[in-house]
Amino acid sequence: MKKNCIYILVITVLLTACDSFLDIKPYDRTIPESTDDFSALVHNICNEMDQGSGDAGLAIGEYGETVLLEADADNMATNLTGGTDRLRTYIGVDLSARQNLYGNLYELIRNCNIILGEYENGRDTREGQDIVGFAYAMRGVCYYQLLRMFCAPPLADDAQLGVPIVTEFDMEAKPVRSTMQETIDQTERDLKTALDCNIQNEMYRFSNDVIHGYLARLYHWCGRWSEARREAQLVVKNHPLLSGDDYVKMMQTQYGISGNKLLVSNRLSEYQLGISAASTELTERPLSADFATLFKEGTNDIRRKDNLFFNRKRKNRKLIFSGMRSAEMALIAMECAYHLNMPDSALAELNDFRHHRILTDDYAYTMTTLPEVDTQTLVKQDAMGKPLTPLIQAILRERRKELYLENGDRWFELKRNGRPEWWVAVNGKKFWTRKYMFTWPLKLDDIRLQPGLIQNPGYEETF
Amino acid sequence: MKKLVYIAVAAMAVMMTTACKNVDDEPALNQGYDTTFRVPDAEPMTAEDSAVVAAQQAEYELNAK
Repeated sequence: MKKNCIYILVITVLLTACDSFLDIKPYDRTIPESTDDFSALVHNICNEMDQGSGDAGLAIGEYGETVLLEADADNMATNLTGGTDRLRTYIGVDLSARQNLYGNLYELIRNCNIILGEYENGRDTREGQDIVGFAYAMRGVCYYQLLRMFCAPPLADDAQLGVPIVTEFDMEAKPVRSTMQETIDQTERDLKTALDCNIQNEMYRFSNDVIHGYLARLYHWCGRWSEARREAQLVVKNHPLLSGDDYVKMMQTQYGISGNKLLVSNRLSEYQLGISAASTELTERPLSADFATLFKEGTNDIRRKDNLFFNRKRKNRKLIFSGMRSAEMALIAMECAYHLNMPDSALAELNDFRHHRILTDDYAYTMTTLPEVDTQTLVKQDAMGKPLTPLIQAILRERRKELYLENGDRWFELKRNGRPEWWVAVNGKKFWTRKYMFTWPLKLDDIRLQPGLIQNPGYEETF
Repeated sequence: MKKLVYIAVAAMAVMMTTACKNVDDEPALNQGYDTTFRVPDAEPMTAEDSAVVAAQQAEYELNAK
């Protein structure tokens, strides 16, 4: 009898263990409840921004990504090294990895949705409003990045599809792509709601000026010139352009907020090893003649003086930057003036910008002394699809110079201004950057699991 | 009989502490699926292409070295 009992006991244990084996996974997370819980979640995201790692690091831009995109664009002369350096040869090498960014951004959106959907007790306190404002701002930034990376340029003929909009924490939801306009509206709504929260705590990174800066970037990307100009001018007013030693000091400060920088990724010096390695790789590939010769004033341009940006051998000396500084806003404002048919304002602002960079008195252009349009350069049209004029070319060139090695700006400028195609030579072969490569692929897993989710053109063949 | 009980208890203890260690594990989502996009093959360079690269290198040697 005892023996039978033991057999029954053993069999019972064997058959009843892990009865939840086939249950839905708990996703290994618990939903936060208190203000402290949500604050901890936000601090975790901020920590990623500081480290330039994880989902948040990618959302605001991190140094590794900045270097990769700089290598993909045309500021560097890949043909001179023929692929013998350690930088990426062209975007095609890494297109498949781009889909991971898509997943990263949606993971961050999910965390923001948890905050926005689940946070109740304490939401109306000052700290609560900072937390909620942060979540709106961060989600807005994610949609802005998704818009730039995974959608066609909004002013292009093929611009129709946006990205899936997810505004609630629902792990089982399978949304399809929204329209381009719906994605733009969602981004704008999130950023404006964040502004309404009026974030006060500096620890939460998204000050009102930073959010205005992101709105300026969004409107600029979408060709909403009037609104972009208004937002950009507001930021510049609060963070005027720097010149002389102040500018040099800011550009030589790697970590933390300095000068008129508003937002900085990788802001802690403890992560200098990775940045230092990336900087070393950058020096292995010279800058292209096309880019280097834009600095026509030579060392009378403060960006060339004492090799601030690059040396005589066209090797990089500029510090990598991911974040936001007000020079970008000034450049946005002057380009908007041009598209709003305000050429005199655009020229005056361009000259004011050059006054802060050129050390001699001959910095100012007139409409008649603007350099002629260079027909040999890659960009041949502006964001509206119109042929370049001397004025818009001068503005775009100034942006190209100033924002070199910042946020992958040149890559996105190429995308915004016509998506030109070009090739690089590696081991006796030509590798083409094609028009479709400017719009990256949605994650294959999502395409497979979400019926109706449309992949971007050019990514039909997989293996 | 007692020996059998000890063995059974020991066996159960082992089962209870080690079974289903990876209860949350599932097959990787991409297992058996494609994960990579095909990009156009590189093209062979023509003499004209090589001349373009040579000119760029010559310009660099002349002006930047």
